Amino acid sequence: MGMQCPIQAREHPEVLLNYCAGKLHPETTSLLHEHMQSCPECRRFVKAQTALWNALDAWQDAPISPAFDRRLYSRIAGREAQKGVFGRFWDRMPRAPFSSAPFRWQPAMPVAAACLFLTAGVLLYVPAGIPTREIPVENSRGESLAVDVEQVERTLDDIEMLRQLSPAGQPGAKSATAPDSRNL
Amino acid sequence: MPREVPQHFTSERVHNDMAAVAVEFDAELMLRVRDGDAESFVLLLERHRGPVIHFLHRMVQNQGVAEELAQEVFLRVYRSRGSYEPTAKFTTWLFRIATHLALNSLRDRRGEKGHESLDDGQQEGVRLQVPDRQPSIEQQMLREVRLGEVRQAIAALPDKQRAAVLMHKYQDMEYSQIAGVLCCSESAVKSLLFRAYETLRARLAHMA
Repeated sequence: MGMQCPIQAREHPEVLLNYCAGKLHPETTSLLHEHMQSCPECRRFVKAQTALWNALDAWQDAPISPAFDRRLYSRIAGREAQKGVFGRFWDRMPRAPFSSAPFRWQPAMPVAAACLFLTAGVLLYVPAGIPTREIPVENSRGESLAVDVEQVERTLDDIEMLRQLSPAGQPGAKSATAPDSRNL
Repeated sequence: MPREVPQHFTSERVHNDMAAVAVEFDAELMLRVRDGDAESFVLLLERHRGPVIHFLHRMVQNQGVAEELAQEVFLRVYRSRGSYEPTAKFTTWLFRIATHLALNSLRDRRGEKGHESLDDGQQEGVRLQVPDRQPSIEQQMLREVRLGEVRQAIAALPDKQRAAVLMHKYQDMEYSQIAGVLCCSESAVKSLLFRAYETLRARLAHMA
């Protein structure tokens, strides 16, 4: 039984490529030879591909630098020295139990992110039951204002001090910092 | 009456056996490197230095860049020795690293002006193509021109097609292995190669 044309049977294009590369099984080779006698299309393909194969042979391997190995070993030595004691310690760290797979960062990242989120939550959380140091007051227009207790205390102290500094401690005195020009 | 074994079947089996032994040997060497045997790394380098550098050279078309990338390939092999498991063929793993680095390098250099590589290669071609019997100046020039055309035709291929052709033609790799390196199916590799050779045949038809 003859061979089906490799060009027309698009599922086997590699037969001709393998033939030109000298990789085709000898049994298939003889079948292909037989087929090519009656198939000008395959003959043309083989001729063109063989010519290409030979043309590609013109590109030979370039010589390798004699210092290649030395450079590589010095880079490896440099890296080993850079790693130092910590690197060697890290290399000897036990891996996951019952597994020789290396430690991977990817699964650790979501865990680290979750820990960070929880820490931030604990630090920023203020329980609702604890009263703040602010007391609500109203201004002259009845608007609610939040005033700090310490600030109120300081202001009261200042008023008391000014009262003591003002002449005869009169309640009508204007201000200790802006004395009346008539008294000068 | 005992059947005579055809010659090609015997040689094919010997070839397959040798390939299997080579695969096992590479894996064995790498496992020894993992266990801290530096001598085995030297042996691995000895065995694969040439193929990796030549492949990279044809990929990036610059010998200096190719050697620099090859250094990185072997450095990565050494760095990952601790996690090495012989699940895939060593050369597949090695060429996967090399291809990855080459494609990155090509992408990085694509925007650069003054692509010096082809000039570089033509000088190299002169040095390499001189056989024992001294060719005439005309023959030398013709070879240079042909080599330049081959290099340009290969350089003009899309990256994956170029990698597939170089592994198939110059590294003598099987379709399955190329598929392993390029992380695609075997049929995709066949299709890549068929299209790449079709383009090359059209571009280099005048050389036939």
